Amino acid sequence: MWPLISVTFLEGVRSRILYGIFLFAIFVVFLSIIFANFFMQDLGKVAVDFNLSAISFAGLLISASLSVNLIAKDLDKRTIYFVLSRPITRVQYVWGKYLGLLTVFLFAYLLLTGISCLVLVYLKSEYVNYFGSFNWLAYLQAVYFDFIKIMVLNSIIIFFGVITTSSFVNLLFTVSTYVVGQSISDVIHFISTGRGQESLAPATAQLITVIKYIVPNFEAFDFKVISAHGMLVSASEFGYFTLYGIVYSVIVLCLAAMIFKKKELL
Amino acid sequence: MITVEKLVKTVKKKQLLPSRKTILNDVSFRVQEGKVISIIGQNGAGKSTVIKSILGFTQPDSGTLNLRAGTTLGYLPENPYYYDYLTLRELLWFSASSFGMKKVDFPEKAKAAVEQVGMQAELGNRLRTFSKGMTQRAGIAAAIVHDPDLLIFDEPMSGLDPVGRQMVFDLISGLRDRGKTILFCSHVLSDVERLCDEVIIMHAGEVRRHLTREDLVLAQKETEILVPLSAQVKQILTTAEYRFKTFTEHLSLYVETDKINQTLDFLRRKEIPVVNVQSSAVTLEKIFYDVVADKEESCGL
Amino acid sequence: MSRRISYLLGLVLLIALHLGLYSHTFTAKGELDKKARVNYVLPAEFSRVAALDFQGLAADFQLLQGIFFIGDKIDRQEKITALDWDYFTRIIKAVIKLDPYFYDTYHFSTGMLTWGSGRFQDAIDILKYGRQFNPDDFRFPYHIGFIYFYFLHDAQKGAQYFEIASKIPGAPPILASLASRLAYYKGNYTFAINLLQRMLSAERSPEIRQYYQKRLTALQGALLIEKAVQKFKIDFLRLPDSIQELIDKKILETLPQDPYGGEYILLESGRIYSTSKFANAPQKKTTAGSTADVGE
Repeated sequence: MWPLISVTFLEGVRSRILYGIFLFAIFVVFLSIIFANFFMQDLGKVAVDFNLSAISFAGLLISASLSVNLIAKDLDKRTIYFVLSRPITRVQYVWGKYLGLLTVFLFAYLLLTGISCLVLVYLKSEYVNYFGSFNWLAYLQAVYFDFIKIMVLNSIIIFFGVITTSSFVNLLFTVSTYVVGQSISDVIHFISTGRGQESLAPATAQLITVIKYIVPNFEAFDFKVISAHGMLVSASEFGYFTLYGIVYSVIVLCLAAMIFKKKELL
Repeated sequence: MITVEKLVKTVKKKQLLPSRKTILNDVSFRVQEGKVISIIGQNGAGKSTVIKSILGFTQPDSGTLNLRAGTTLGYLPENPYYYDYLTLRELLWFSASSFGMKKVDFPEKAKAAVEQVGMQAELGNRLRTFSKGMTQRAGIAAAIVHDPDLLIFDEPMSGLDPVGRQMVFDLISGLRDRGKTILFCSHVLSDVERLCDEVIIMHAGEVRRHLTREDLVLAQKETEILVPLSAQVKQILTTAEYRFKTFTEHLSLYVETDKINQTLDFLRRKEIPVVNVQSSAVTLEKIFYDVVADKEESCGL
Repeated sequence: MSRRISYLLGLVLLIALHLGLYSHTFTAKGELDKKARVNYVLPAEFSRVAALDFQGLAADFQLLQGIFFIGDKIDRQEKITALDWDYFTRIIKAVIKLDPYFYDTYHFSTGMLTWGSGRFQDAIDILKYGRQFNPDDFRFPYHIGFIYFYFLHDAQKGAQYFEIASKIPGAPPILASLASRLAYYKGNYTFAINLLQRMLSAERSPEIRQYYQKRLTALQGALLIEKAVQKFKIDFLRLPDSIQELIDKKILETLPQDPYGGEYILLESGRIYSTSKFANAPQKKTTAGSTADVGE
């Protein structure tokens, strides 16, 4: 599996798309220096908002470009035959591709976090009085959970990747899942209120309950607002959220591997 | 080394009313160790499907497929595309390391592989910069770098210029001389004829012929006798159970060389004029065309 | 060679044209947009979902929208209508739902709503909402107390909130005694000036600074006259008849200007007040709060 992971890593870091996304993210990170000036008190919060959003958005863009094409390209250009004619099983292929992707994201996140930290250090020294609620640990906590989110999202991309050979269809499915996953907790919250119970048909409410367990709760990994205000989660919550992300990804990948094992590669 | 028995494969046709299409029908053959075997056939005859079944890319509906345990395999896909962001060296390392090659052994093996395809100078270059022929040769290098026992090449000659083609030809005969088992598909019948110990002709998902080298040699010992075309002549020849082929103006009669006189006598007796007598080059090409035209009965092998 | 020069010349001309066109379109479009401005705020329920996991950033931008809207009107010295303030309040209420921890929203909005428009209850509501999410931030009860005390003259409630604020860890020690001191020094210009100066030094918002600065100038003017009155009292053992008398007797060199456009008047007690009541002339609402500076 190692050869596959390293090849996938190379695919990522040698892709021109990745560097376009890097440039964009770095641009947003530097934009935070300008935008922070528009605010009065919580400059640290605004700076963190910008930096975290840049990293998070870069993660989404990489997923939507690189990850979505990863398996589709192999299937479309028949590289898959070349790969699978080696002693690499299909299960190994799915996991190898996934872990390879994670190494690409790890690389991207480390790089972007490093750059954003430099910007934050600068801003913090410049406006030391207005970084009251800022907390480095909280900042890294948000980046960490964003990485967990990417981990889950990419397991879903791999899953759709083995189902459909079209990267566009994969993208549509993934975006839908992402949007649903981001808003599901709001929707559930809405249902639980009296207003929601009145206006929703019972069947719809039940459907949403089912979706709740299928679609990942991406909002669980959104620690941007919380971290921007310097709040930290407890160790047990930290572990719990991490575990949720890992377990979900593993389930999705196992399903993907099962489907891929049966797939006809004619 | 490979035993294929009664392989059947159907696929769903994506139509308004889904139906199943048979793409492999009762395919059986055996590849013996150290032999060079070629599968030839038209596009869609099922060659690639057979190879993909052997490699496990697709599951047959029924039948068995056996690959001798412990066989290491090198495969060159048809119209290959490799990760073009890799250098040739990285591609070879991917291939070799997935077969468990150690890092210390790699440089030497890689050098040997690229020398065989004449790409020594390209080791450090990205595949992105390669032409189609170079990509093909890079693929061959990736297939042989770990020194496999069995090589499966899908259209190894495609996309190559005459020089490249000769190179692949020499490569395959070199591998044969080193005792490797080689299974390949090709459209270049003259190469197949010169290289192969056995030839499998597939048509419409079936194995129509399985020729050995002896069959091919034998086939060349036939003589072709041309006679004018008419319904009456056709009738006479059919009754006499001669093998013949109908052309626009004449009929070609195929007889074994030692039976020429006997046949000429017969024709004279029946007052059928002989237009020409020539040594029949019932080469592979001819056999192939006959099979494709579904004229099994007219060509005697 | 000449071809190259003419090419360069043409390029320079085009760039000049571009610059002219750019600045024109920039301002013209701005004017057009202003005419067509629909003061619509995305409901927080919607933008929360639409922002996906970028709610913090969405809050930043929506608040900026509010800051620029009001700030622009203040810069241009345009009249801010009740409808404008409604719009502003809607923006703020959407932002605090998006990010209830974002202190800037509370800071800017309550500053604007109190000093700018006299919507004290709105400001208190917003701060009370924020307090639910930020129970450990002394600034919320502090500002609520300040509004009660300074604008609404509810010394009891003001003191109550100052006390809450002073008990939160991290609150400045001065808060503990602020309530009593405010009560004691009520109407003392020196104390008010000190307080304002302290607030001014920690303030980054130009709009809020402007309000502080104006009030500071007005109070400093009043203080200057009041000191002159004290001197007059010592010199002549009586109160002057009018402020003019202070100038006539050379005790006051020049009459300070009330930045609110009113005239300083001498009260019977010897204190100085202004006809503007230290508020912007057309806005009646603020007048209620301004007497706190001088006492009843």
